[in-house]
Amino acid sequence: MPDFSCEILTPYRRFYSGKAESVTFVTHDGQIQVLAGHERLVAPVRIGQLKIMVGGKLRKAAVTEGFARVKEGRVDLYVGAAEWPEEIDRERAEAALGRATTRISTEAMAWRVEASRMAAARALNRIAVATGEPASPPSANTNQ
Amino acid sequence: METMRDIRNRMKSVRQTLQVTGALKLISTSKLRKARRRLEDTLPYFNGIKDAMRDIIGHSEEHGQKWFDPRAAKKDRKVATLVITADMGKAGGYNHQVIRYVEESCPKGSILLPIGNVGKRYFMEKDYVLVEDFAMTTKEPTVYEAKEIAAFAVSEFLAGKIDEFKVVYTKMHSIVKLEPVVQVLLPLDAKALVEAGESASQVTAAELGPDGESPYVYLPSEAGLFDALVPQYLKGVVYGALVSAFASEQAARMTAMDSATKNAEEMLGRLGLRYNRARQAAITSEITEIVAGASALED
Repeated sequence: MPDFSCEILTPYRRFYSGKAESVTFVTHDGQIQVLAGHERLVAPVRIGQLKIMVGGKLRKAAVTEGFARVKEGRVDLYVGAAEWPEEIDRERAEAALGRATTRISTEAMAWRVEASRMAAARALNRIAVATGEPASPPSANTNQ
Repeated sequence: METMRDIRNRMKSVRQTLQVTGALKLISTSKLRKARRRLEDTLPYFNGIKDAMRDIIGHSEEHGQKWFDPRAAKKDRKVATLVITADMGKAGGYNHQVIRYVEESCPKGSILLPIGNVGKRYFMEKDYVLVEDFAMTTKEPTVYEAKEIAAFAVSEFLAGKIDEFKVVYTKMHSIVKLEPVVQVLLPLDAKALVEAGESASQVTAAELGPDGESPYVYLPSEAGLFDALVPQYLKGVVYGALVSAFASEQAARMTAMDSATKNAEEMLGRLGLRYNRARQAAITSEITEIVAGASALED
């Protein structure tokens, strides 16, 4: 399979840098899979699973918001955070989910509820990636 | 002539100062190590996000107008500047450099968002409008803080309360070469981004020209994309600036405290010599007195 160079950068570290045959991420209206030879593209990345095919092997990771830039022979993702399944602290994610869920129902200000909803989506996504189960229920992962 | 006691008191106070500067040096050395690691982790993202933005803007045909409109025609444009200084002094010229840079580049009466106590206290007394929302400290910059600042800038910019948003921070070329720099964040301007470009960046100015490359496809739409992109971009750049400033502060403090410690040690050495001289003078005069007294008795 033809490959391209791929870089996934977060403020905390260079998450991935190397060759890839395909990169799949979640954007506004669903998943996008980028293969070699894709046209130039800029798209926002939403909280969700990132799938990256390296040497015939599919690797999954949890990512948060950011954006992707696709150009000739390379794909760059700039996201807030990215983790491989084995790096995810399951307990921490579940605690975060609990906190966010209570806040959604108790906060009065719209933007705080919004922020809590995002936090819940991030936590759910981490849990889903860590357990390897299919993506979290759509109602909770609205990303709206 | 100084007495032995005077010199001893001086030496005591110098020794105390030496302890303070020595301790601060050790602290800033270990903090610097941590901050540099963080800076190294962030730099690829920080530079990458700037490069990407430059590339995207350079290749887009019609921009999401609200982010680009420089409102140049408007009279008395409101310029807001994020000023990153330290929370305490004892960092050599670090704070002063940033403050002087701001005074030179920002006209009186413009809006400042000070981060760090030193800058805040200084500009409070001057003819600037301070926004107090960001009295957060520069201790350990977090992405969360950067996000808040970015959100503030975006909402003020879109509401038309500010026409330009820039950040002044200190860039660390090396431990001894620290330089205050300014980066204009809003409105987006491809030219300004190229000028502020890093020498190490992969994107050159030539790439920005009409080079026959196809423009980018934007999802969901050009305007919609920039709405999603700009807050992310601002967050990344502000975080990078915070981390860079933090590392610079530690480097400046380490250098300043190192030379202060050396000076204090040197001074202690000189004072030690003077102390011995004074002690010897005292002994000599005592002997002279005794001899003189004895010879007076003999007569």
